[in-house]
Amino acid sequence: MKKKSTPLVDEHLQSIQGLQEMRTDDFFYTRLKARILARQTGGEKEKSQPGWNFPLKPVWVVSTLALLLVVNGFMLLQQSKTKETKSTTVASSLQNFAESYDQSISSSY
Amino acid sequence: MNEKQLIEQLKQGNEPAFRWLVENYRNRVFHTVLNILQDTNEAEDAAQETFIQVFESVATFKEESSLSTWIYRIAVRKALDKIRRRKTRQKLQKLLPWWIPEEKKSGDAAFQHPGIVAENKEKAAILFKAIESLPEKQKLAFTLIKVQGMNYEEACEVMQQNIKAVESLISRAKANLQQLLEDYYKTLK
Repeated sequence: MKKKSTPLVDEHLQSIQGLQEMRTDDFFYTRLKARILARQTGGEKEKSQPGWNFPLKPVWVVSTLALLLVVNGFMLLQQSKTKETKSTTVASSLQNFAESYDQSISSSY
Repeated sequence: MNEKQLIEQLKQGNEPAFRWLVENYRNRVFHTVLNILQDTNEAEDAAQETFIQVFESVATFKEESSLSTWIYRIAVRKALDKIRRRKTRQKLQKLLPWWIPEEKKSGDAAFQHPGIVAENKEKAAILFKAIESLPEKQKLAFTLIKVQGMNYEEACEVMQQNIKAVESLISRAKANLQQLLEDYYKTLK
């Protein structure tokens, strides 16, 4: 593979030469131990976003909204289908009525 | 105490052995996750989560890799999980700005690595900002090898990729970074 020249990257990489290893403070183990103990006693809940409990979690809110939209869409579809069936039923019963008296329905327009 | 004995004691739940492990690895783990996450608080949290997982799953450690590689792998996974969560959160924040509380760390603020000498801080911050924009695997390979100074073999083991794949990731990362830096300097003119 032919290597592309990347002068800007090389120049910027120079700036992080001799990057010092970062150190945690001396109480790291104490805090870690406390977290492990809290987990063992069931005190620590799985860390999710702060303040987002079950009903407020965005995933629940978005899912609920999506579900409502789907249900609404389904209801609307059902409603329009029922209307179509009703109108065809009314039209055919009128037609039958007219035919039984040997009359035909004609529009004056 | 050699590594085998240490693993054995860890598997038996020996606390001094665990403490020894934490004291010996905490800075390396923290440094690794800090380079990936570019956020001190999240890095501290990820480092703790790494050792919690080590503590909880050492019993199932199959010793197919060295202990340090296994710990690094967990650390990298924890850091990547945090990045994914951060991205999801940012997307949701855009979608539902009134719902999601604003993050303390602004996504636009350049990361000032505490381990860099003062005269290089500006250039380093520009580089870190560009690294942040790379795709996940490129970012990880570049950070481990070019920023952290890990050798290719170790990085391959941590990333569970072969050397060719890692070389390709580095090459693509460098090309992308060159483009990002060129664009950045163009906007300044």
